[in-house]
Amino acid sequence: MGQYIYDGTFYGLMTTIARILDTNDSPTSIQPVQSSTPDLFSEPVRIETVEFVAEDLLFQIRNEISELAYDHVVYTFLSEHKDCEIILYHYIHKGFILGKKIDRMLTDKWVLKTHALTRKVEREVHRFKGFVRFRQLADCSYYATIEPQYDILPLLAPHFVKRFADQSWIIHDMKRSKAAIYNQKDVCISDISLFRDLVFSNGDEEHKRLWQQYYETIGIKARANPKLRQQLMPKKYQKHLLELQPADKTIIQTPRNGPLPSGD
Amino acid sequence: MLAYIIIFVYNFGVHYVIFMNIFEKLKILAASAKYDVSCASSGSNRINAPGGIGNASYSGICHSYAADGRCISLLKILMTNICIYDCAYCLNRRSNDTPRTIFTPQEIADLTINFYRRNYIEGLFLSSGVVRNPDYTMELMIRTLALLRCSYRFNGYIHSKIVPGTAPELLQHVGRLADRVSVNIELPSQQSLRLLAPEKNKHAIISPMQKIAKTIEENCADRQHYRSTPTFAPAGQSTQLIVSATPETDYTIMQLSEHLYQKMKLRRVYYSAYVPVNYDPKLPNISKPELWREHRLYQADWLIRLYGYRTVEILSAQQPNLNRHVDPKVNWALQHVDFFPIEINTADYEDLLRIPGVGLISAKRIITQRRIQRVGYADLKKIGVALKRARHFITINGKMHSPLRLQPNKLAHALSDYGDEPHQLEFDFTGVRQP
Repeated sequence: MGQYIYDGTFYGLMTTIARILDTNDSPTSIQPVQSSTPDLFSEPVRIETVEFVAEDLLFQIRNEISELAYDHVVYTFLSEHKDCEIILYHYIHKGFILGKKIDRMLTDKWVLKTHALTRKVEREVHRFKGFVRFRQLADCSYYATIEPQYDILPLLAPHFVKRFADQSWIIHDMKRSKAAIYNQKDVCISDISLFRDLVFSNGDEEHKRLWQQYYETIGIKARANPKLRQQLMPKKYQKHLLELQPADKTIIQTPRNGPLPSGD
Repeated sequence: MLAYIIIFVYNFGVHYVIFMNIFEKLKILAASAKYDVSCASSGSNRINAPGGIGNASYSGICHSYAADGRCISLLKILMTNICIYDCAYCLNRRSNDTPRTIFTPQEIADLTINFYRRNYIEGLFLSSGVVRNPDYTMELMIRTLALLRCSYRFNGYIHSKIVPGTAPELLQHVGRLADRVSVNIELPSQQSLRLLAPEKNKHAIISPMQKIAKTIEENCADRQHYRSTPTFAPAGQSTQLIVSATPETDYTIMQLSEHLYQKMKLRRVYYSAYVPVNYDPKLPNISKPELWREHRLYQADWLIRLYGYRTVEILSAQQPNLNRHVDPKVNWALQHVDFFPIEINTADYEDLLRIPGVGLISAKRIITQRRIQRVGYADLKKIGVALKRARHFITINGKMHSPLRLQPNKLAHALSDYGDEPHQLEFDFTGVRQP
């Protein structure tokens, strides 16, 4: 029985789970240091991240459980669910007992929770492959803003690297102040809260209006179904979808907690 | 520009506006293209090439949803809405007084590439009215696609329509450039075609479809031997039928679809509920499109394509139309209650698919789970089975969880899509033999 705290990174969680598995403890909670709440009765154990321990555990998961289990672990972590750490601990623990069979145990409590979180993250990634909207900057690179529910930048970036291999682009996750930046050679994800002084290219406004014109024209009025559209394009994603913005309004950039940049 | 002015001189009685800006052209030509309901961008896994842009995703990606709820994944436009034909149901028929315009190949390519780079679309859907004759129109379209693929090095998804009556040599070119091709059958029988679109004929529509089907099959065989063989329409071909514009029964329509899937190996048949755009005495006088019928036809289409049903099992000459109140799968189950109940832990995959409330994914999960441990009642809910429907037709470890004991008429009321509304059942299931 113990409470554990880790530093909030993926390798940190893997180190923590590896340590718990080594000591054969059954944890009551594993929490990132940013959101831990102190308990009255027991002192939580703080685990330091050790890279090779984490990598060892990941290697073991891939070989002794399955590749699919490794994917589940990564996706569940990216879901940022408040209990994802303890769910992952139980999933990995069970995985080492069952091996490959865990992929077929679809009604086990922990497998079910893991698979449910994975499915949510997968669905959001698939939706965002369509919902990311780029705008062209004056230097012919492209810039997009998103506000996803889960941390999907590491999963979105490879898709766009393959697709837009010959153009530089930036996808800015405004909720988490992170951005994936691609310069036609490689991609990196870094912490950036705000891009200042963005200058859009001359043709960009015209193409935005052409897209809005196309969007308005393409719906068949006799089959109008706003409820269905709302279901498929939920309000939480509509902020950055250009076709649903009024024609005269450009996207205003706002940092997460701060004033609007001057001059806008 | 001079070439286009010469084209216009051929078309009598058509108001042509040459000098339109790109916004006006897009408005007119997108509005004309929207009645072609095919919107899929799936079926092709074209990869990007060095120095090129774009790839195709095998599952397809929806970029947006229109005000009518339909997915937008492609830039769906006509190359031109000038047309020599006078089909009664079409907005752009020759006798309609509507502004006409034409995109140049350069304009279409620019629009596509710019939208694509901004991730608005997966690719291009190019259709066209018929200018001068089918071959001439196809050549203009091929020029556009070649510009995109070769000059712009575009590797995204392209869906190209084929004009009925096109020469076989041109079909080769289109298939090399596009991912999916389609020829619209438009109307489900030859009599209807003669009535509403007398200038088109069945042979002109079916012959390109047969040629494409044959070429796709040959191309698949070639690619197994020589990996560098260029692809020919990797996402296959599809077609579209307008329903409720003419009096064919659902049985006729589904028999046609089954023939297209089995003999011509089509990927999809699309059903478009007739939307009145023109006044014409030959057309039915309806105010709203029959969306429920379109919905039922799609459900029946799924059963035939993916669930292993045959048309004669769902419909017949005695019952030629689909039941409005219950979906086709439930309808079949109620007419064959002696097939049920099915034991979840021992049934074959094909039998599991016949249970209302169990879909393709649930059936696979049941089979996967069964290899490790027996499936129980609580497990089915976790697997994703719609137990409200399925429990009437299954036993779980020998036990049945339904109070209705497979009585068809009571089940029909319970499983009707119209819920508590007072209604008369369209079909009476009283005469069905019970187990």
